Amino acid sequence: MEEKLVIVLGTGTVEKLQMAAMLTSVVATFGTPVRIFVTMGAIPAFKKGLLKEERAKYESIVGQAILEKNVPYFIDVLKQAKNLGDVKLYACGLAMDVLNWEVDDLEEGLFDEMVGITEFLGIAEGGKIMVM
Amino acid sequence: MSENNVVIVDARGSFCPGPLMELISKIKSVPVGTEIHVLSTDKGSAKDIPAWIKKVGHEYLGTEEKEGYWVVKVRKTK
Repeated sequence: MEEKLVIVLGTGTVEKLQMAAMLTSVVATFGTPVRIFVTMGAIPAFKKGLLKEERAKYESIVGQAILEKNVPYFIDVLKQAKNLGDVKLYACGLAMDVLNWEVDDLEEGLFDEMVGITEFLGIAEGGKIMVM
Repeated sequence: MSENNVVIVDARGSFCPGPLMELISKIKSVPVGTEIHVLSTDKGSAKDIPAWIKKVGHEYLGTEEKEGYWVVKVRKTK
């Protein structure tokens, strides 16, 4: 396994969010640090206090089935991943600025801080980067 | 839940990565040497849990197919 997994999560569909959460949770159990930059269209899915069906839209019958069946949802999987390993989430400064949101507007217990691109690239340095 | 020193993780009805996550949570809380059986109705998990066990270095004791679910057996080694 790489020294560090970096996920740039820019799409807020059920499928992409779920994929990012599943990868994160499993990789974290290997002892590999995971750093996730949540940006652009993925930010609204993390708004504090939303109901499951309000968080994200599905893009296929897979996402639809995920919502309908007893699949652990991405928010809960990510929270669990943070308990299992070295997982940090960063909210994109630009996306947050244009929405006029602070980290407090996002789901509690997930985000470590709000950062810009330059800072995140520093955090990502040396890691394997996946873009979703 | 425990029977004859085997710890049962009943994750039937949950989809990937639920059964694996339940195993991971449990394996952290039991002593080294403990045998754990994960019950899963999710076929993907029945395949993926053994891969996880081997990857992280616990002892994979095999998978048994029952009616409508799988029993994945593992011994905590570290």
